[in-house]
Amino acid sequence: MKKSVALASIANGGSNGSLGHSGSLSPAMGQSTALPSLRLRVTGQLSAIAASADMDWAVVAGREVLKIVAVYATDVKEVLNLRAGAKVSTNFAIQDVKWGNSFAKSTVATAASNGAVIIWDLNRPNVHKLERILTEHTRAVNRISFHPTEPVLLLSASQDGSMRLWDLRAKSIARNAFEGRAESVRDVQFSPTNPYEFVAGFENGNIQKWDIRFPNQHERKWNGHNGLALTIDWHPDGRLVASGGRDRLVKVWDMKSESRLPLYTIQTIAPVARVSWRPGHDGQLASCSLATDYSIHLWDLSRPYIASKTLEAHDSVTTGFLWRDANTLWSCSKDRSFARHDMRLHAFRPMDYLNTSAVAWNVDGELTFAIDERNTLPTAPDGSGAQAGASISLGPAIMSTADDTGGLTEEQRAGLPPAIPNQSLVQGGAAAVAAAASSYYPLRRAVKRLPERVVGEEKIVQYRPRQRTGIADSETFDVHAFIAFATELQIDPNDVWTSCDNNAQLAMELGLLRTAQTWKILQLLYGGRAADTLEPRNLSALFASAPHRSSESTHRSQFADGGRPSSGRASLSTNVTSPAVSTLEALFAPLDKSSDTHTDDVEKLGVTSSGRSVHSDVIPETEALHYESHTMTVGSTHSDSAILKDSFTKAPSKITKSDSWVSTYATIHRSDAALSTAGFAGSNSLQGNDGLLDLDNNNDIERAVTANVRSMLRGDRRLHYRHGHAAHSNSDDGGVIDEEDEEEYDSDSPPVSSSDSESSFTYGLKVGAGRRTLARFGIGTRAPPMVGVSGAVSDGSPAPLSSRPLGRSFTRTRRRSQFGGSNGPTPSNNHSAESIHSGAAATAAIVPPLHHPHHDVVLPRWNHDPVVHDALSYYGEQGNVQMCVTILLVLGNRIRVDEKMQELWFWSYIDLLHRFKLWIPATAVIRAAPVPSVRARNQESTTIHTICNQCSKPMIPATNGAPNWACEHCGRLVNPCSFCHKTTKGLYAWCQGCTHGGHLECLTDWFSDDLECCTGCGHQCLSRPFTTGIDVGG
Amino acid sequence: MNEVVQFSAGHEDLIHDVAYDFYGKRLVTCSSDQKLKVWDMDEDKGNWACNDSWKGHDSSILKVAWAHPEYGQVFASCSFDRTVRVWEEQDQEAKLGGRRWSEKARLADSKGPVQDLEFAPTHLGLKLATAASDGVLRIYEAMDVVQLGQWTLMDEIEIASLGAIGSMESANIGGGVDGMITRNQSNTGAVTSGGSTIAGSGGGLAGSGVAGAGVGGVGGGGAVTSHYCLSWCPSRFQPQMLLVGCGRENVAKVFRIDAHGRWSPGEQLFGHGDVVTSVAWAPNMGRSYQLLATACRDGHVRIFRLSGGGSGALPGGGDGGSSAGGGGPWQTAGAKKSTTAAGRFHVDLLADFSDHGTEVWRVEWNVTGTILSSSGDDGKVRLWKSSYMGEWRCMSIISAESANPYDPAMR
Repeated sequence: MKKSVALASIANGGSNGSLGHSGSLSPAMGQSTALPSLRLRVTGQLSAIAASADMDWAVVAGREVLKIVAVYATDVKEVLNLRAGAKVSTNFAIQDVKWGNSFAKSTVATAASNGAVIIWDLNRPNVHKLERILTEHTRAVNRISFHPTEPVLLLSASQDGSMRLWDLRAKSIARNAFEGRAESVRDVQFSPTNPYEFVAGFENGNIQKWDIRFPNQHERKWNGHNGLALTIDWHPDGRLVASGGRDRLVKVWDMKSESRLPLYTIQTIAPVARVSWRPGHDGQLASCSLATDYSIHLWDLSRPYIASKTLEAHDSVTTGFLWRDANTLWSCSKDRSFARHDMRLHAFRPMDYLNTSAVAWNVDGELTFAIDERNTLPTAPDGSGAQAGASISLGPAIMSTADDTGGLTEEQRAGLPPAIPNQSLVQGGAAAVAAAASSYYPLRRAVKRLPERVVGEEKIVQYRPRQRTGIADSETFDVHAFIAFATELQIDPNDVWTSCDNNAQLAMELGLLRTAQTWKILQLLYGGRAADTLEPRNLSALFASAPHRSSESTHRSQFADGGRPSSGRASLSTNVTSPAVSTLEALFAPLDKSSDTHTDDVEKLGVTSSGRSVHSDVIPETEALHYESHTMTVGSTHSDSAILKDSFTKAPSKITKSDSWVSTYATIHRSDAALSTAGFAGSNSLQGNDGLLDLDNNNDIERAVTANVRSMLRGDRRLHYRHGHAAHSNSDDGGVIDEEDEEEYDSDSPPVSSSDSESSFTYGLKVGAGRRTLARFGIGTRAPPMVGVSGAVSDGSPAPLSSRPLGRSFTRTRRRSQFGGSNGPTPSNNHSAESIHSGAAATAAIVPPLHHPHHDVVLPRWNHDPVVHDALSYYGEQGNVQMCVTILLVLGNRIRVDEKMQELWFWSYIDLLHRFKLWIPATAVIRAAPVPSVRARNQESTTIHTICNQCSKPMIPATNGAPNWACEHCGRLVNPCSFCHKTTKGLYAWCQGCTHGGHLECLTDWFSDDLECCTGCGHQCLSRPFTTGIDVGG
Repeated sequence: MNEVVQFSAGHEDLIHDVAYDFYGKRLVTCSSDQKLKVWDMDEDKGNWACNDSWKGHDSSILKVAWAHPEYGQVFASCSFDRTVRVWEEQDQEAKLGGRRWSEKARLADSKGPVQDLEFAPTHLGLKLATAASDGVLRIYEAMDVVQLGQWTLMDEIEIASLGAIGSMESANIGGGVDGMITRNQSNTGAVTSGGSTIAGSGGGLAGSGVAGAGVGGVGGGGAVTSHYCLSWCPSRFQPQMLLVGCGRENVAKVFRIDAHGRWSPGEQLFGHGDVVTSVAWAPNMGRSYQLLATACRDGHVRIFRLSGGGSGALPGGGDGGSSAGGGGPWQTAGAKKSTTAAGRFHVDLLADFSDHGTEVWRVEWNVTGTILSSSGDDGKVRLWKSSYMGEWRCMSIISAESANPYDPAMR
């Protein structure tokens, strides 16, 4: 053991940078405290560095520099300039420098680019330290190496392709010359353990092992690198050699192995200029680059892909470095500086700056991820601290085994080289250190090294990333529904009702209730015109899907009570209407989040109306009276109305589509009622009308919305009414009412419409006055989408329903005083009673005054847009552009949305469709898009060039852009029919035998009684008479 | 949620990025083991089959990104080896032969590891933006999209002003990631003496972020390597914009191109306590504002909103839309509102989550831009979604432990 330590000490001292081991560590420079980085700037670029045997001094060399520097704990100083006073002949660029050891401690050797090897003796008393110059090489000497145990032996490797062994005791004559016969030698190094062995690296990439006793032939050879092998370094164990080349690879070779393959390969990013094993860390080596990369990288063979540490020591290429000890690096660089760094302090771990997790989404909402697991176990700050300590006893451990140059035992083979540090530690008997190390060197290392990889004969435990990968379905995107919608949604703007209906049903089937609701609401809002053609079956089908929800809300049922009477009382309730009503309720019910006040209010309405309706069925007059009284009483409850008002005002501000729908609906009742009552009052007195107009002019947002909401309600009612009429063809000019044309309504409805409903309707119109011009009864002049809805001209029966609550709310808000006078209500009663009884005639008397003032008033057009916009932006917010686009398409020009936004939705949707490869729906969307820039997409980039099939000149398209059917160049027809000699458009049939052909009809005709070609070419196109059209052309 | 199946890509080192292609039926994974692997969804069997695996770079491969399929089956990768490489599938080569993807281009302009890259949205053409640790944002364009070998370096944009780096250096002391390093680093500072210490070299190689910042980092010990990241604004209705994580400035900036074709930083996303590790500009499918997300080494995930830009407001519905995003009681306490003089956008910090508790490495939006995923060193993927009222909340957490055995590599 003692011997081995000594040997190791010498060996390390002389080796190319593998300096660190226990024997050379001075306690003063102890490992426990890290030393600061030091830098010394010199006058020229540096190309090589070597350390004295006691590791206190360094020699740095370059083209203009050869200096000895003393490195202290906190400082570095130049102590000697060898160039001072040197002869001119020594002034060639120095390629390498080495410092002798043992009894040659004062010897420094340099290799020059002119082929000289220069020996310097630092002990010379005079200024000139030059001892002698060895000049046998004809070209530059690239590298030199002192023998580890016989420091009088020096090996040099030259560009001239030879290596020479010098005995410094002899007179300038090389003891041996070794011809590598493999181009220039870039590096050479004695084995640290076998005194006869050395290894050289060549420019052709070879790595050769030599025995100095057999100078004629190398002992072994490896094809090491693709291109130049630039550097080699023996592992202190004497078994492994690392090499680096211009192919940017570092390879580790087993000198004892028969394998021609490297044990390890490390890919670096730049040509490798130097490699050096880290002392005390079996599996670690450092490298620096010839160019590009200025850093020194520390590699761990267990994780060969990424440097375990990177030291950015210099601002230019690092040309040389050595390990002062397990952690301290000395380096020199073209940046004209010498530097000392501590790996633990000044290097960083590249892995720390690498993303440890990866996540990707695909369009299905699937999430592929790779995430780090490190932090599930305790992490070590950095293993190097422990390793440094460990290295002290590690050296001897290795050396003891390395003593045996004849070969290692099996046990050693398995456990030793770069494999498992922990195991090596234990082997070396440094149990305490091992324990300490393992505490630093925790599970991370242990776990990572579990899997084994067999390389050559070695079993090497490899790093395995502690990372988990997986694919999660986030369930955030319903692919099935998306595709179903994309392919089946109906987007016909000409039939909103059916489109919406279809879409709602589709959504229902897919279980997307909210979407279904949206479609149904849109259907009610915009599908009006189509409602006339609505078939009962359809309607019930539409609503049939909803009933399971209908039981949920009290609000709904109350409303139902309120709503039904109208139809019931008039005995108009048909199969159609009641489902319709209930659906409406069902629609809104689940969405109902309205406040208690709403509920209360509606409840009152419901109760009263239902009570009334019971009576009204029997005696209209009674009902009217009843209604009248109701109006009075309710009208006095101000507080209620105030609350309602509040809730109402809140409603539109809500973004949430469903909420606002509901609340608006709830509000509708009130506002509508209020308005119609107001109108009613107005009809009686001019004053009232004025008041109403004032109201209109105010036009504040609330009111506008109110109006809007009202017309929505109208739409609903209209359904009942209309159907009711259809079923019964009332005595009151029912026939006329049935007419769908609004204009007819205009002319005919006055007599028909009974007081209440009429009035409410009229007032509705009035409210909208600020916005639109009014035609009488205005229905016909409304904007198309609205016509159906608001056009629901009243008939007698529904009116009371609305007018009753109206009275109340109106009283509250505006006209209370008037109402209080009971003036208003009374006449209204009369009206209704009369009209109901007497029909057209009676009404006619009353109506004119009623309507007359309104002639110039604007129709109420409830501007749905805010609500629908809310819905749209809600869907946009959710990223559901499918809804946005489909709604836009269905509604067509019924709704205006900012064009930019439309464009965004369209493009996004088309993009999504493309992601699912739904090309056909995408094209349909593009074609239907109202945005020109989107439509233009279909016109892009498909150009078909045609050439004449006879003269091969380009066919010039006809003026309309269509293909031309005759060639302008040769004047001949394109594809003329062989039979009729006209151009064959479309299907062209021909005989594959004679290539003649043309119109299918012509050929069928010809071949019906002939077997030969019609051109007379003599080819028998058919073998048997032609019978069916399929065989034409043989 | 969430059914998690294990996906074993068989890489020998950390996987740094995964990317789906446009259709979501193809994956590419990249790793420190220098390999790229492409996976195809076998729609019949419902599993992922390896298309090919090959050594793509000379060092850790940090990012991969697919080009839009209209340019073919093309993706780009960037690496620690300072190169960006563009790959195209060769249909005639056998699968799993190692040669199915050929290197069409190698972009070696960077002087440091290339840390991020992303293809521009397709309406801008075949453009590729890269960010490297030398602090330069490079934008390449293939002028002729069938010549994938020819890329023109259109722009080189200095991300960080050196002054900013210098100032952050001092500010950064104590903010180091590794406690031990930080401690020792202050020792270092105390001990340095004379002109021979490394401190003097900090400013060397001006203009090269990797050397300047790196060497400075050696002295400073803390954030040694600058980390830059980028994300294109995917909207076709906005001018060309890039969100860039600006390394040790601890900020992310929106870069946009001006009328003269010059890129310059505009809005800044403040509030980061450390280096921004990942940025993501949300796809905007139908919003009137832009959403941005950042991941930061300080352990936070942040979501920002850019609003008030020239386009995209919804008249009528716009109020509702923006109030959904911005107004209301849900707004995160302490939300900052800042308007930079240079930018046209208002920047709002919508959310700031520290749930990860350790470095967050990645933020990524889903395709519709409604859900944000973040992942970090805590080994969890968190999904964030805006609630009904516009409040961002954690929607779900995916942890590796829940993965079921499923190994496509074995099939």
